[in-house]
Amino acid sequence: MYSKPGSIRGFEMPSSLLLRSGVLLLSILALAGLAAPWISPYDPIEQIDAVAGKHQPPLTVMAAVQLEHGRWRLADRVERSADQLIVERLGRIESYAASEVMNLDDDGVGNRRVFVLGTDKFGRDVLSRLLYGARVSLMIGVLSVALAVAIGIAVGALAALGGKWIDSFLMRFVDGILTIPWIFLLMTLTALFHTDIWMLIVLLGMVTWPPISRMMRAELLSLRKQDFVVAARSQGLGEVWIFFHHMLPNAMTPLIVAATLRVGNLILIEASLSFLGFGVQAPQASWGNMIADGQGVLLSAWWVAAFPSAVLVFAVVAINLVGDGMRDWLDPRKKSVGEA
Amino acid sequence: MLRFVLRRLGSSALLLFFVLTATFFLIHLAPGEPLRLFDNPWMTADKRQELRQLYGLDRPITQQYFSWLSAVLRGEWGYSIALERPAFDVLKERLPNTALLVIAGVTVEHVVGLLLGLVAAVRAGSLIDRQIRILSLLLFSLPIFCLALVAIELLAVRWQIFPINQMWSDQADQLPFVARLLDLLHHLALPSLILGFARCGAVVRFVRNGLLDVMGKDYIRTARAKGLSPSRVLWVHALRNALIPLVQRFGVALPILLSGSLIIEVMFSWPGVGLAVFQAISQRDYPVVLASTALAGAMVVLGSLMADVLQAWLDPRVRDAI
Repeated sequence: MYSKPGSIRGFEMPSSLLLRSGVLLLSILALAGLAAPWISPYDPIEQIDAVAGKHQPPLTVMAAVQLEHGRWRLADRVERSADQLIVERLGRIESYAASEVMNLDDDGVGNRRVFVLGTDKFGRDVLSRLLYGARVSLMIGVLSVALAVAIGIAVGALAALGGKWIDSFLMRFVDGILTIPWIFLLMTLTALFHTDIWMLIVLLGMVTWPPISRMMRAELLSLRKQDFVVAARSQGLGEVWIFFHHMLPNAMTPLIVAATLRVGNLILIEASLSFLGFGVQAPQASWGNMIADGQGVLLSAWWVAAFPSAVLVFAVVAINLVGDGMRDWLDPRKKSVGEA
Repeated sequence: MLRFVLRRLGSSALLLFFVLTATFFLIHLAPGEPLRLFDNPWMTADKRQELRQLYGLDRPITQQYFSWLSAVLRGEWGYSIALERPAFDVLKERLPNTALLVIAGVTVEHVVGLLLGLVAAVRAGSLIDRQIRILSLLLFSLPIFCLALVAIELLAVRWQIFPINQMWSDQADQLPFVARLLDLLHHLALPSLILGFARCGAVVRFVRNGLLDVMGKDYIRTARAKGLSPSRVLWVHALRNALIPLVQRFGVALPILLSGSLIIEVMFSWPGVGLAVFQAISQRDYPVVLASTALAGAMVVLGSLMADVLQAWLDPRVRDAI
């Protein structure tokens, strides 16, 4: 049992496998998000026929009838007769004169819509929205963490190396920011700013940097006493040189791990905000507001909320796996938790 | 101990001051000023100017700040535009509801987290340990509103085991005391279970890793060498020491807890501070927004003060360090 030294380690999950599967999952999601404009089957905000296309289950195939003035009708079935098109739509039979239909061909209409993951309440394609949502959610997560890391490094370095007064002032400031309940403030500010995505990234970055700066400071303070830094200083190297060439590279390891885990955290925060209606604004798709669209129709149209929820959880699990895996990999000391 | 508490009280007061200041300036320095919350197509320049005077927004910002701060300290937190009542009164009756939900949620979180973490640590490496760790990773990565959506749809809508929303049934105020209490607990059960389960993943991890870490320490080996029974070593020697970091975590996790409870309050129409701020923002009720953000900040300050004092009481090293 746990009393035998060394026995715990053998039972640790094979972290390299988890790390690899996390990286694989994340790369797939990131690629899908990046390639969204090219691989998504339809326009994510287009409502071509909100009435007939509403809440269609996954794998629905519908005929798309193009009428004059760019209007579209989605039909369950179409049939071509000599001079008109018979359309079965919403359980009723309608007919259009052949001259009314713009995309008529020999046995019906030329266009079909395949809704692989179904449609939402406006008849929008869930798969296309999911892909564009990946783009938005991952971009917000990664960029706001990048911003937070940049501020965190600057403030942490200033606190660690700038002397006692600057240090205690900055750390009290960080304590203060950590105290503000971010969701109250973010909701208020996003309502005030009439958010677009870039503003959201800035706001999220602003509430994320304090813990990173605190970590950076602790790391730098312990590095400053290390022999190789003392040696570099005794050689007469400048403080700035020492910071960039000796301290920062060594402080990066825990920073990268923490930043990775933060990305998952921020994706959840963005999803929560969008779910409440304060983050990414409709009609633009994000996983959070897609899940909100599925609220209340979970039993009748489960696909609206289920697919974005699943992808959201996949993404965050993958990020956590990568973060944990990297920590074990970069810092073997942490792996041997419980070893005597 | 007393000196420690006094010292922490002092820094808490300072923090509270900071939170109030930061909230005020963030909202006031945002482009378009707070009046932007009133924006609508019928707003004329005259009307805007009138509103600006009404809320004192035409004065210099420092003057506004000091008059707001002194009003807050006197307990005058502005007047709710939507509810036509003092904002302080609105929040005062909402605060106990949020506290109830949060305390119930935290209890569930720690009971479930402790149990699962304990089992996982004692059976480290077994199948059940693996399953618990996968479960905790999933719960950790699952947004709280996904869990709530499914739970509401199944437990409240389809099987109707729990009420869908609100804190009381209709006409609950006419029931006798015991029935009222049961009614409240019935309404409290689902939201607090969701709040607790959604957050227990991190506790499981903390307890499991903490226990495994402590089990390798010298004093555990000593205790075992003295011939103490394994269960006594676990419960008395290991668990107590493994739990101290958990108390410390509590203080840090409070803001996240409050945001989770806000989402739950909104989804369940639970009449708490979170729902108040959500409605206030939707209705552009700016004094309530400002007051509830400040109040939530105060709750966090108080919570982390309590966590620190508790930790100092449990762990003498913390007391001496400060």
